[in-house]
Amino acid sequence: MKKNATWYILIFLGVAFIIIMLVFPLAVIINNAFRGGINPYTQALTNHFTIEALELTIKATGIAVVFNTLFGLVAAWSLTRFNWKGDKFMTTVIDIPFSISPVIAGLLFALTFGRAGWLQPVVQALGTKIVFAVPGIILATVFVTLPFVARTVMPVLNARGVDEEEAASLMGAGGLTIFSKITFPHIKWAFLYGIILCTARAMGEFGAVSVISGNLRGKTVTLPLLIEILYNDFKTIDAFAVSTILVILALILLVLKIIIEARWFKKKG
Amino acid sequence: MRKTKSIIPGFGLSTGITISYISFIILIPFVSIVLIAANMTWNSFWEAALNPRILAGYRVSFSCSAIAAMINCVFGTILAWILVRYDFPGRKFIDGLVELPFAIPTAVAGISLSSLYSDHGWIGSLFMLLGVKISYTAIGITIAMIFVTLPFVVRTVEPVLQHMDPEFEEAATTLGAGKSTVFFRVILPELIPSLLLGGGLAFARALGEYGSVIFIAGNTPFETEIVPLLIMSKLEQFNYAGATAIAIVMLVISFMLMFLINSLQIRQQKIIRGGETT
Amino acid sequence: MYIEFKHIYKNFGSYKASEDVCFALDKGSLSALLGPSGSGKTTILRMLAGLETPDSGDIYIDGKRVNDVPPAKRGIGFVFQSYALFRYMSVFNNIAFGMKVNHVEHNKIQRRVTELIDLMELKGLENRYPSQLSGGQRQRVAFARAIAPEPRVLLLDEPFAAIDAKVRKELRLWLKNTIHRLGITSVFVTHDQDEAVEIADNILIINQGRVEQEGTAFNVYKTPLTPFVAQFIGNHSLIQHYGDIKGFHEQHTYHAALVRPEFVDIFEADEPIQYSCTAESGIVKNVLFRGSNFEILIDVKGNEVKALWPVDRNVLQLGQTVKIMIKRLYLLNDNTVKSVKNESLVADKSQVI
Repeated sequence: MKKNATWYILIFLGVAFIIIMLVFPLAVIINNAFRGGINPYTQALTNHFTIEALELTIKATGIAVVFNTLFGLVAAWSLTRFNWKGDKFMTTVIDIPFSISPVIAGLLFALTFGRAGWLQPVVQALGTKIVFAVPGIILATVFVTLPFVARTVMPVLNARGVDEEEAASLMGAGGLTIFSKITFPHIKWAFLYGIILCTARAMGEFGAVSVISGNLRGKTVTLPLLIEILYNDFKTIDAFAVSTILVILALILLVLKIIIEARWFKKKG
Repeated sequence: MRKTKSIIPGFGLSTGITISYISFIILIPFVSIVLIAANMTWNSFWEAALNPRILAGYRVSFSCSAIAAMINCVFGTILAWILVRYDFPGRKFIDGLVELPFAIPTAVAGISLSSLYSDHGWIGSLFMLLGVKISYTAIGITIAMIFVTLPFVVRTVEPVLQHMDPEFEEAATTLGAGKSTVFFRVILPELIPSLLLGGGLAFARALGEYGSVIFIAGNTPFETEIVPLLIMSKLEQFNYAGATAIAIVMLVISFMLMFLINSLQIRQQKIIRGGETT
Repeated sequence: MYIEFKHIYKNFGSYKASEDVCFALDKGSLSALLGPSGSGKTTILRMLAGLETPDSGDIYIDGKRVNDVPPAKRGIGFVFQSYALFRYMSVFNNIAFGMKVNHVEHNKIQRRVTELIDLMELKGLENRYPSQLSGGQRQRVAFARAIAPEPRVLLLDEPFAAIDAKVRKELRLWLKNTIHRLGITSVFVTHDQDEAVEIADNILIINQGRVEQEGTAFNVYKTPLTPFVAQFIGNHSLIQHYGDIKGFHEQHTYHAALVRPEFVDIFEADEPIQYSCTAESGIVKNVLFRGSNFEILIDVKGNEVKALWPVDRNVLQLGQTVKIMIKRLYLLNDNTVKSVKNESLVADKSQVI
């Protein structure tokens, strides 16, 4: 590879762009979090609002990931192994949470389950609250992360065709056996990849839960919402300190993602 | 329904669950929009969706998203090029770093960008010396959008560059073309479908972006308010009708973009698998 | 000598693509690089174009050493196996590309491209895009594009690999005539003997990165210099113990012999022949109808020999005993080939090729 002027210029531009756009913001987070030293940092993290926000974030993320993963597998099975009327429509609908603004997503739920919402009577009958309450936050998180596992798994299944499953069925294997022994091994890496994407998105969800939450501190505040509240209250160090929790989790997920990607492409050959 | 029953088990159960889940979580909430919209008169709808402040919001959102998408097209191509064609120390590291905006929560990105480009921030202060204010301006909004949508173009252009048949460039070289002619006349046209896809994805994402933009934007009416913020403020005032009207306009645009992007995505898959594109 | 390769060596990692390649080609000649897949013939073509650089050795075009000259400046036209037509340009713009890039005057480009479009029978297709053309049309566009800037050397990489078998024969003749008419020094790569023999003035047989032999089709066929060439060109059968065959004796170092069907005469058992005392007896093992003749496989003293039998005679049957006269053998040792006539014929005045 001839290292002429173009080589140097392009690499300089590319690397400089990445450093300015990505590395600096990361550095700012760390710098601002520790600006007052170690004590303010740990105080911000051990504050009970922080702990409660962390618990809520973990809860919402966990539920969203579990439900959407199961949904993703079931939907992939239904939409790629069979042909039925409306399957194309459903496949497109799955993409919707992906393509609309999270604020609009939150709006949808507020309109449906809120005080003036048309499903409000149902909600009241069930004795729960959705808007301005934890169930709403969980629901909003489930909505915005719904497509992830389905979208990564479906292309793999579509590319493969149904021959192996049909052969197994002819030999008398039951549904779960076919799925676990034949289908799943092929989608293993796509499956893991989808879960990682789903988790990252769920943890960081902000727009939709902003609408639903009502920001009742200690009750309906997730970590991203807490960060907003702290920052707007000029508690800068606290805001950045809490941010580091999410940044560390995000970096762990990023590393996992890279590892899975490498294994996946090695398998594809 | 279908003519023949499939021999693969689980049709009823899986399809039933799929339809119910999707309906409950996605389709039913959309009904609200329809109900609210039905209750509005045409006049009140258009007034809510198109009053001057909202129009300013559309202008800010669309222009900043478009500029951010275009800047990412240029730098995304440069990044894809050096990651695929060149070898240099730290290449793998940079390749991994590209995914960062997808992993970082938008609120975290929002406050850190706001701090970085504020008048006293590391980069913001440098620009203040030049007399350019970034935070609380449209420039700041655009920068936040560039951050959030950075990976899109890189990731759509990379596979096309990787799979490109070297013979096109060799043919151009034997015909006497210099390196820049080869790039602009032969390689770039091959990249355009993937640039459109990546740019389209970036544009669509930037339009709806909330968390990473609101902190740096300053949210000054008519100047730095983005559409998602306008929807949010209507909601805070319990003006559901107003919020819905704006949301409907954005949804229509989102669906049109989604449609366009899907057809571009099909084309992209064909290119990567080596099929004809014209 | 217009094109010269002097002691060219090229390795890809541990793989020896070219080993001491030396040859010289005349101006205006049409040469074929012929050899099996992986023999290194395409590497030679690409080094001549400048698309690969040799590890050592010199390449000369028109007397000047071009090792350090980039492909863009060597004045060569290259037709790729897959044509590599620019997908986003029309036929006209594809052909014009080489001239546009060299800032040729607009009117001149217009004239030359139109002239080539007529010559290549592409009229009416100027504004079409490559995906809208048939395989044969694309090949002609690739050809026109390569010669438009008036290169001094034309290189073609397996020009007919992607063409239907039916169309191939016509295109071969067309290529040969067109190149001769244009008078450009040309080199093409092929693995198909028939193609090389039909089109080229001059054939270079390449095997495992080395030039095994260079010469006209007839010379290479008649006087193969190495065992590889003898077995690569033309049809043949191998005989292990050729000394057993009447009229031949075992010669030192030559461990096997090669016989071409054209040098084998078959006679029915009861047919009267001149060489009755030196003809061998054989059993028909296989009869294969080839359209213009039969290819017969005969077992002669444990060796299987291929011979030809005309269609207008009695069809031979499996297991039938026949008389067989081998007129010439090519003896093979590790490095060379020796052509020997059947001794009983040398004395005879009868003509053998």
